[in-house]
Amino acid sequence: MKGFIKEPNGIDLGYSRRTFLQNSGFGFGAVAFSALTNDASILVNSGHALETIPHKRGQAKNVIFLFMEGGPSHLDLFDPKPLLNKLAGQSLPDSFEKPVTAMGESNSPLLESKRSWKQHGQGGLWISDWLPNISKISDELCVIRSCIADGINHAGGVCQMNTGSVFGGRPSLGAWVSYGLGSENKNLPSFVVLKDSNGMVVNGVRNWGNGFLPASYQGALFGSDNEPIPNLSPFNQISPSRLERKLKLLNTLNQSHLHEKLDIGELEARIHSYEMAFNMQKHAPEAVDFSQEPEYIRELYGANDNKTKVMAQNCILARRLVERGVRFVQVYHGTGSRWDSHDNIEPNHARQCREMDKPVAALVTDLKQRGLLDDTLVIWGGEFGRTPMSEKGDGRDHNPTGFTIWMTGAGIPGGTTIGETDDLGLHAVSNKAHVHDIHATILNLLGVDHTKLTFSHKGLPERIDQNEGHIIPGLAPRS
Amino acid sequence: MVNRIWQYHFGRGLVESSNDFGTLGGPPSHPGLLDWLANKFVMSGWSVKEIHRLILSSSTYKQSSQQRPEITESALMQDPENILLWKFPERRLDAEQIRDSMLAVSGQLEYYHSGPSKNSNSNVRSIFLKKIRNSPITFLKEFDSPDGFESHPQRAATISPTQSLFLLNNKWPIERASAWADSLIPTFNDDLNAGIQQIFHTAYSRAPNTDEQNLLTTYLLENKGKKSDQIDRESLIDVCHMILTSNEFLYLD
Repeated sequence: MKGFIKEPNGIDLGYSRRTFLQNSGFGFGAVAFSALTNDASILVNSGHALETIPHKRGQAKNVIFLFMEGGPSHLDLFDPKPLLNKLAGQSLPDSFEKPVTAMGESNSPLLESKRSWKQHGQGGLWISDWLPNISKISDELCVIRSCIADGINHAGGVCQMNTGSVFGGRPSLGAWVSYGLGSENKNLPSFVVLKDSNGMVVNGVRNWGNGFLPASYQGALFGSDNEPIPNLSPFNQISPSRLERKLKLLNTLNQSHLHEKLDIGELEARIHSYEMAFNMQKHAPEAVDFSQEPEYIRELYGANDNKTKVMAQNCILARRLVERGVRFVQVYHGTGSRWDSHDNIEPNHARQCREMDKPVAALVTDLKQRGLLDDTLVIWGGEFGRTPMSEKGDGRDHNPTGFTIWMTGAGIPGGTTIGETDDLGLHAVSNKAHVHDIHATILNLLGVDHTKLTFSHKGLPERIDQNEGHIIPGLAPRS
Repeated sequence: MVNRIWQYHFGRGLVESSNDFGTLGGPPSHPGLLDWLANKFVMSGWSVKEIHRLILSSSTYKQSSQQRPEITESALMQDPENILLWKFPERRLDAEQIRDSMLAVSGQLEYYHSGPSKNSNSNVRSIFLKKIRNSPITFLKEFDSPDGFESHPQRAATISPTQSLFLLNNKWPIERASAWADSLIPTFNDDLNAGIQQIFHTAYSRAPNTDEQNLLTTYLLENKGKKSDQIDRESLIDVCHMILTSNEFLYLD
């Protein structure tokens, strides 16, 4: 790339700010220009990331990540363990390696799963009775039972599932995807975060931060109240005509400043960014307007039922955003670790499942009926699973050494299971999928080779997976 | 150290990879100057202030970013990226500088030069604000202030529509504009031209040209009329607001 300083060792070092803006890769300037032309293909073809890495391998264009915050129990949802109920009340047999757990429950008696289990669909996926609606779409799902993470607490776990590191400060998956693929909609951010309450995701913004990537790739947290996009309407409620008059003045001031200037790329980009802001103000409210959804859709998602309403609205919104070209939508369910059930797992999980089961199943069904599922990768999961050992008699501790997530869409084979945990669901034993592998796989399903999507930071070509990820076998994109 | 100070003033260090010198970093654009500055720094008794003074009073720093017909064409051919600094490299102010400038111009900057850090609502300079990692100050974050998790050798200077939405619609800049406008009303009631002069001198450190003078006069008088010869406050707030969001205010050139 022009403007990079190439060293003999082949590592790309810094670049000038001018190059930075002119060569569209990182180019807000170019991004702004391309977005203005209203032509997604220009943006796609001019992006640095896509220019230099092959982009033909996957078929997904968008991601919806349904994040169950707090750690859902794989043992009670997708990974049945008959041995667990047989040994319930006893302590972990010596043949199982004792893990270090958050609450130190490795010696506590094993807790049976009270669920009844059935195999569903053609693929025969095991899903518990807590998820009657998701059971019905089982043939769309690829269930990964062998996930592994490093963080034993929520802060580290949620941070790692989002950024690859248990410590804050690295760019989030959504930021990498926005950086790699750019945006297809000039009126909306390319990475949007939705949550289901006014509570905050553990440690908040670090989970959708841009890290060392430019700030324009950070996730935009939509508010849960009347103003989903921050600052979309003027604080002082001025009339559109007054705003237009103001902007005209600003434009005249900026144009006269531009006169006689050489470095006009950046200044012009900023002038255009006001036009984009004005467009966003006009068009974004339409994107988030539920009143346009017909009654049968509202009914399908459960938007008319108080128990499922909030998740239903977020799932509908996620679909509307993806339809309008938003790259990455993250939907938090159980915001503020509500899936965390150190005690009373029965009532806790029954409630969480009830809230999200119908809306999530509806989202997949709806995407499919609109022909959007092939273009959209849907991911369901939390930061870790829960232990077979009990806590406080009727709860389960955190289990990052073996847990379940599932994916659908993006042309991946449905009705399938990948990997397995041991007979008690404590440790992943085959086809282990570390968070880094999950991230690598997601990028590849989007057509981005995870080893090629790099950003030069402090002299190192940084990757989402910290150079450790591999595509999960069975999830390699179809060529 | 002198390279970091240089980077602070010019947006780019003499060695661009300011955290990596030597084989892992890029070569210096002006090796002699870098050595000379480093020696000066040591000789001055490691005085950071001395280096700031030296750089700020240099003719390199005092250059304009405007076109100069006699050199522009050949300079652009030979050094299109201005690495040799044949003109001043235009750059956007940093987050803290933008916030502080808006406060200063509005007349609301609270004089505070030592002591414990303050709540993010205070009108003190940004350097005295409490920085909480999990709830970053929206203003600073929006303009690429690092999140504080790790050291950043260089800052990005992004342009995004959410940034523009922030400047246009957020309460904070609008309140600065209102305060500034209110402080200007007595001058404006006295003499419209003097008021416009004052706006330009405060925000841009220069006098307005005839076009600009006319532009603002028209804008301010358009909605007048209801209340005799009093100036329309709303229009004045809008003018102040747009000056604070204009490129000339946000960029150093």
